[in-house]
Amino acid sequence: MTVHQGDILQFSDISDLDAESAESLQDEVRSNLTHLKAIEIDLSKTEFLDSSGLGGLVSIQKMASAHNGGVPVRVVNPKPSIQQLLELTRLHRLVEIVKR
Amino acid sequence: VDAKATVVSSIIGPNTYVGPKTEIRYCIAAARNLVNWRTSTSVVAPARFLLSELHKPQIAAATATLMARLAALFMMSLTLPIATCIALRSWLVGQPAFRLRKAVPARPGGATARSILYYELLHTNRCWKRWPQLWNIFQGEFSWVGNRPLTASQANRLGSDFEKLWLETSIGVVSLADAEGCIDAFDDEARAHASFYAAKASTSLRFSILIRVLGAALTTPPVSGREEEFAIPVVEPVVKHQGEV
Repeated sequence: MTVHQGDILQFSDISDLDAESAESLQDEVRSNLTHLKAIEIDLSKTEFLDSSGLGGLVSIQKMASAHNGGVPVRVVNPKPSIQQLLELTRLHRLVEIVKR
Repeated sequence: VDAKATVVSSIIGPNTYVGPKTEIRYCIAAARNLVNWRTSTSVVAPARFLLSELHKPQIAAATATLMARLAALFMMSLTLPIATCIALRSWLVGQPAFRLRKAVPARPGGATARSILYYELLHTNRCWKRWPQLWNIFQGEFSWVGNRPLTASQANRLGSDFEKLWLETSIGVVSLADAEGCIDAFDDEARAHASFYAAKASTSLRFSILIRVLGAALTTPPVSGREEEFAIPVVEPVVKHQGEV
């Protein structure tokens, strides 16, 4: 689910972050990037994250950082197993992990 | 504990190695086991360059490596007639059959070593192109499954720590990127597959990659009309600026 909250683009209800869902996130970011001040990806319901999903997150981070001085990308409330994967792959140094 | 590792509010157990750039926060680490006392979660470190026991089960590891090397030699012998036919086909039309390439070594644990030379079989499909690299497995330079070799210039283009994980695991004849259909690529997607593999490599993942790649390879004829379409130049082009000799 995609929600615009002011200048923030929020994604939520992502059960699997794989090639297909990562591509739709990227498309959404690409088409809205000009108006954004932040991107938040809620992974609280995500059970599965594979290498294609990681690639999608990296692509979004690269798109965001190249735009207008850099739009921050936040991963919100990932489950411990997902957070561990983000930390093992050192992706937490590229995207901010936020707990709410 | 490596000098480049970060340990915060954690306990490192005896005989435990903490690799470079590894961050351990709010955890108890013992051998490959990591228990986060804040979140009450645990994980077994999938990559030995991150966290591992100092005294590895040497005999089991050595036996597995030896078996893999012998399997490569056996596979090379078994498929030698097909590879010879492909090479002869090239030679008969006056073209080279092999191409020499140079890869930067993988550096698990931050070690550096000499460059690795390997060959590619030319004028054939993507699978058979890698046939000579079975010899590199036999020599102990490559693994069956790992991340694909990189040239020095490609390695220099790995920017973030995430991307640099590409070189933190062994070089493989087949890779996760191959299994995901991202063959011989060096884009963001390929880098993500490589980083994921470096962090999550396990026997089951390796087996799954091998089965998927071999399955695809067995259904592809050795010589196709689309050969070499994705080849990267062996010798990297020398860029000369004005005024340079």
